[in-house]
Amino acid sequence: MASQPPFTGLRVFEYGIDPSIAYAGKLFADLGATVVKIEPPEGDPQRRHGPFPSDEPDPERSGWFLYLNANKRSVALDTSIAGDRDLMLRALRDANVLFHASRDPELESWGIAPDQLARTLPHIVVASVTPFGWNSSFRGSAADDLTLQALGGESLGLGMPGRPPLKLPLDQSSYQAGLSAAIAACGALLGGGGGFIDVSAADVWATFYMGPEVANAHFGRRKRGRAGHHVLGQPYPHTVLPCKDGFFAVQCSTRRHWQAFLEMVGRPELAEDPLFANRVRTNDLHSEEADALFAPWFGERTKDEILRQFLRFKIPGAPVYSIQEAAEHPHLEGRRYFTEVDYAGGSVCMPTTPYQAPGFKPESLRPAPRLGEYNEALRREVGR
Amino acid sequence: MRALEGVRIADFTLHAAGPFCTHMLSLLGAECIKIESAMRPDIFRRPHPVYGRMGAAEFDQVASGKRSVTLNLKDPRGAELAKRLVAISDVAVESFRPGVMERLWLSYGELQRVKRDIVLVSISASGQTGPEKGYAGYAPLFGALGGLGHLTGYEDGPPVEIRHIMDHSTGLSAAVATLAALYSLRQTGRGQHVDVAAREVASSFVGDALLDCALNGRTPFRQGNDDPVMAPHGVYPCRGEDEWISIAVKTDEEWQALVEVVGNPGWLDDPRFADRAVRWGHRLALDEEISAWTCRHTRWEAAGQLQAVGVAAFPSYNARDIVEDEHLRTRGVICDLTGPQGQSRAVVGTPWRFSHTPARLDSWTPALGEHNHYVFGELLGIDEGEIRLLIEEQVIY
Repeated sequence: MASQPPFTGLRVFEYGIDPSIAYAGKLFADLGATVVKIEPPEGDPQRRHGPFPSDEPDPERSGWFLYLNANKRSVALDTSIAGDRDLMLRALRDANVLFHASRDPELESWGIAPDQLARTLPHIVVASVTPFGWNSSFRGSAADDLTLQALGGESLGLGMPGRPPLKLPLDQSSYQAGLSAAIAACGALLGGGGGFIDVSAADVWATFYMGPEVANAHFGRRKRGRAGHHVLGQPYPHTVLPCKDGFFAVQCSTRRHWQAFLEMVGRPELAEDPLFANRVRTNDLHSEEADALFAPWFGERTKDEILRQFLRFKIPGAPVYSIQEAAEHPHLEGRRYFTEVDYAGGSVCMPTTPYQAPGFKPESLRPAPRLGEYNEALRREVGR
Repeated sequence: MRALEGVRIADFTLHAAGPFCTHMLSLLGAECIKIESAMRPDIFRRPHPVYGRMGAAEFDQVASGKRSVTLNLKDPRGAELAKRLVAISDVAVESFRPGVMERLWLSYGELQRVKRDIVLVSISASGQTGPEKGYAGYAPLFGALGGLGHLTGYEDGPPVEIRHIMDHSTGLSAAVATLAALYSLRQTGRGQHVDVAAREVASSFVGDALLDCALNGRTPFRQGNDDPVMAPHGVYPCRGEDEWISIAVKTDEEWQALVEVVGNPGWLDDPRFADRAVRWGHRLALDEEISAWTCRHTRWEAAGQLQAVGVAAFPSYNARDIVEDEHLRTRGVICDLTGPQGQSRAVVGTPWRFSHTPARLDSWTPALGEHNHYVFGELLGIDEGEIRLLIEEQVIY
């Protein structure tokens, strides 16, 4: 039985420049919705953000833009002009969802602030995504992925003790805020549609990632330090060990895993060693000493050799794959996680969705839209 | 009314990733029935070294608002009761290793037999298909397999631990897939089996790096707090113990404003800092200069002055800072939850403010099997005597 992607027939718009709403829109586009991206006349700045093929900047060839915007349509509108705003409002009449990220100080005078649009167009779900919240005294404050991860409590626990807190790589605040906005919008659609949703990226970090720490802080527990490459508070080994061709992540939660681990590395006598009498203490206080005992075994083997041993001894562990290794991995190929999409006169291998269902995959993936390529069609559709 | 009012979830998930998915649905108003067993309680019910050393903090977050029943799924009568529960649910979610649901006679096909249009969501490390589908996995391993782990760390150091990012993000991505399947069910009357792979969630967060590799054959490396174009872009020490400020300067105007705040220490005339590209090339020297300034200030003095001139700057918060922050409390990020004995504690709320369909956490962590009588008696219509018998025979157990 042929099935259609779940969001077939839904019309979703993105207004305002932010990768967070581009990711939210992508989640809808990849599941079959028609997603229209409203860009300023000069185009979304992400178009000027690499990677570009052969590092040659070209606003129609940005890899980052392609990843976030494949399967979408683009209209270029100057919303400071009344005529273009009118076109946007007419187009939104047939929409189901609007992801809104603009913080332009003129929005309210133009009548296109997200809460205003939710009132004028009560049938559509308007999800505003901003760094600190639309209804917030910090609405206009400057922010960056780095500062949002700091405010949200994420970075203080990341990195090495004694060194500065770290951020997660690339633009994780946008992925997190986009995912959260998509969940909220899906919920509102299922709840009958319509309404205003105010999503704050800082709030996403603080609520979704700090729950346990907030509970611990409430009960006066000690502050968590930076974990380094050992997962603090876990029995040793919960660590990343260097090996012949990179790093390998090890996780021995149970006594059985630990005994199997010692057997695998040929050091069963260490089970009786006082260093490992309390493995949580070992992990938190003596991990370097412990790592040194196993470094030779790991250092002599490649990630793949180690993985085979871990599977044989039934111990949880994983190679730390580089981007290239992840991209070329036979498992992901076996799951058809990557797909070819037309790009820059040829084609490129794109990641698809992290979930699959017989009815989820669109039949084909269209490349990211050229700036304004949908303008004429949109004008026709709304009768202008 | 909440968005998912009337939706019922049979929740077979364990640990953190799966329960975080159903936690999202529960916040949106779905009735989420957590199927547990005294034989093998969710290990997160106990205090957990990472997710709550002294209390079951992670469990409290993801199980609040849910209902708990106990079933011995290894007893055929237990599996049968689970199926009856699925028959009155819209969605079932599980996070066992692939193959376990089949062994429990709870495969998608079996569930379809009792509920033709059921949505089944399976959440696992590597997915239900592919050569490595059977591999065991936990959060640190998802990130390692998916490429995110390799990119996280200082440029001169090993990959660092990324905490519960992977568990919770897997739950968030699975929630999108679940809601999409539910939407499709409403439109077409058809359910489906959704397969969520945690390592692919990690890969989905490095899309631009994967494309750089596909386009240019490059394999990006760890970059600490560096940004590809911004400088300064880092976390700098402030006065006090383990107190830090994050600063990100996007434009030359912001740079000039920062220099003003710092008091014009000659940086505007320094050829190393002349424009963004040149500054980026000298970012290590720049970081040292900035640190020398931040060290003399508290994190709030420094952040306040920089924010006032439009520079993105914020202290690195710890959990207590978050609990005590007035802005976050006003936004509902931190709220108070009252327990059955009248006890109250601060909990994290949601990052969403809905005008029409509020999302919220409104009940305390359920005790193991707290809702057995409600679910088996009221919902499934099993009489009290039979329930007692099933409890005695360790089927409801």
